[in-house]
Parts: sequence; structure tokens; C-alpha cells
Amino acid sequence: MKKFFSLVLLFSMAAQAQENTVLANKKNEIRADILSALVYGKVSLSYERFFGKDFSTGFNVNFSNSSKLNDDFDNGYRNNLPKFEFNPYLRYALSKSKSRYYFAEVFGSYNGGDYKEITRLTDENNIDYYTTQKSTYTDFGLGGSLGYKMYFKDRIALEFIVGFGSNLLNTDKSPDVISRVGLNLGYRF
Amino acid sequence: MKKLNYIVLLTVAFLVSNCDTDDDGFYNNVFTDIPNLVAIDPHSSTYAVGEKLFISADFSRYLAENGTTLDAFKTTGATQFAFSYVIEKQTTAATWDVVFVNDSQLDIVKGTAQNGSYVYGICNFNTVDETYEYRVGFPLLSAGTYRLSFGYNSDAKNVVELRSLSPAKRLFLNISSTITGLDTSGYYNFNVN
Repeated sequence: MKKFFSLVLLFSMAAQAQENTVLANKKNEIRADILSALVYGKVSLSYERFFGKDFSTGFNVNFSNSSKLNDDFDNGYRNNLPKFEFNPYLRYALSKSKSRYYFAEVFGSYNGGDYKEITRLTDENNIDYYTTQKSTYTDFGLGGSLGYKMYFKDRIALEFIVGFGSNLLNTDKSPDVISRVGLNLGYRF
Repeated sequence: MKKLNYIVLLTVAFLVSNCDTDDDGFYNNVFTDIPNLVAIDPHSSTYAVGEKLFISADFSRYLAENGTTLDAFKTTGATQFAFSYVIEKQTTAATWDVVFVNDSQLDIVKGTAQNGSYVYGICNFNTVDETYEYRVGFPLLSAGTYRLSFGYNSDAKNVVELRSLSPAKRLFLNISSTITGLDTSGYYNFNVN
């Protein structure tokens, strides 16, 4: 019986080692966030480059044109409307397996969008009135994320990620909090 | 256990994503203080059964505000301003009940009004003289001790709060307007005999 369990264990370790080797030889990955696309109408694409050991790096780009956010912005429920993000990140795998693992990352975010504020103006008859004036903003933020990634057939990736951070430079206009929440489907090559 | 991890992660993801509206709030409201836009018709504190208690408003789109003039119509695009008030009758020493009458019993001279747990009054814009107008009489149908207040939808005691009914995507103008004839608790007290 002991021999049987030892054999099973050895077979399992060998299989994982082979899987890890296969994945380790594939250094690049592209992903699309299906959660953001379906729920928010946001295009979110990512690239990741794997190094040896447990580190990887990459970037994520988002373009948002959500009708709900646009309506909220127009109707005054929010005063900014994020439109794009460029998020470079550095990631560290927290598990030994290369095919299913938790990871932690730090990310930067260069982001921008529309901003509006209420302004009091005076017309040609010297009568005051209020109106909203639109402008644009850009900002840079830092944050951290946690996630879980799994591979199917050594090349198809499914990734859950949850993270948030803060904008740092222009928070009078930009959102205070930036988030990285996604359900990504990817391809490793 | 792994399934539980997935579920927790997904739940947190959805919660965080739903919280991702950053600076929540209302960014289409303007506030100002303009006194005496609404008035209780002058009358002694004693009414006769069958008389009506009239509330009136007649204010220009051009509001005098701390030495400047504010154009309420240009700011909001609104052809109506709304406010509310409550008329109560004393039933015991410490009990006041809201007085209900049908909308058809309200004497609507200008503007519109609906009566429920409070009177919802709407000042309509008169394009001829560019004023917002309201004049509605509330019938006093039985004898007793009554009181009227304007604080149903607010904590304010000595002001009536008017809010523009603005078209979509336009600013809302919220006006706090002091009103004469109220006691320190915010009531206009009167009797009906």
C-alpha cells in the first residue's frame, strides 16, 4: 500500500514538474478582461512577460465608454468620468505550481478622463448664472492587487484579480480610488 | 476549500467593482438663500370653518442674492419649483394629526398642488412676466387648533426649501427661503371656530 501511495505521489510530482517546465518555456501572455467587457462595456487588455523564478511584469490598458457611467456623469452623480488607464505592474507568484497559483502585484496607473465642475458666470447684462464646465484630467496612482491564475492545456489562462490603489497628483479632479478588478481570459505563448 | 477561495475572491471582486464609483455624491446641485419667496396670506390667527388658508409664491427668475442677481431660469432651465408643507390639527394635548383633504378640495389659483401626508406645491413659470407663481387655498373644514409647518422634507424650521424641477442633465437650484409668521419651532399656529 505504501508503495502504491509513493508511486502516485511520484507520478503527481513528475506530471507537475513537466507542466511547470512547459509553462516556463512560454514567456509571454496576452489577456482580455471579460468581466469588465460584459458588465461595464470596458475594453481591458493585458500583456505579461514571465521571468525565471516567480516574477513577471507587464501592463494593462483600459478604455471605458460605459453608458451607465456616462449617464451618471451627465446627471451629476459623479464629477469625473474615467476613460483610459495604462497600468504597468510587477507580479510575484505566491504558490509553487506554475499551472495554478496565487499572486500579488504592485501596479502604477496613468489614467485620465473627463471632469466637470459647477461654475458661476456673469452674462452680458451683468446677471449671474451657474453652469457646468467640462474639462479633462490625467493622474498617476499606485496600488496593489491579489489574484489567482490557472492554466488549461498549458496555454489558456483564466485569472481573477482584485486590487485597488490611490491617485496621487490630481485628486481634485481625478477619482480618489483606482481599482483593478477583473476576470481575465488569456493565451500564453 | 479551493472552491471556497474562488467564491470569496469572486465575491470580493464584485463588491469592489461595485464600489468603484469613487467620488460618490451629487454634482448637479446649487444652493442659495433667498428670503421671503413664499408667504402665508395675512390673516388673524383665527379662521372660520369653511375659510381657506392660502399659501402664495410669486418670485422672479432674477433672484436678488447678496447684492448680485442670480438667474434661476438660465441656471436650471426649470419651469417649475417645488416645495412642501403640512397642516396638522391637534387631537389631544400632545397629538397632532395631519389634515387630509382631496386634491379637488384645494383651491388652486396658480401653480399645482397635491395633498397626501403633506401638501406638495409646485410654482409654475409664467413666461409673460418671468415669475414662478403659486397660490393655493387649503380648506379648513372643522373647528379646532391647527398648525402649519414647512419642514416635512427637511430639518429646517424657519425656512421653506424650494427645489427646481429641472430637465435632465441640468442643474438643480435649491433655495432656502425664510418665511415670516412662524414661531421658534417652525409652526404657524391658528384656530378654526
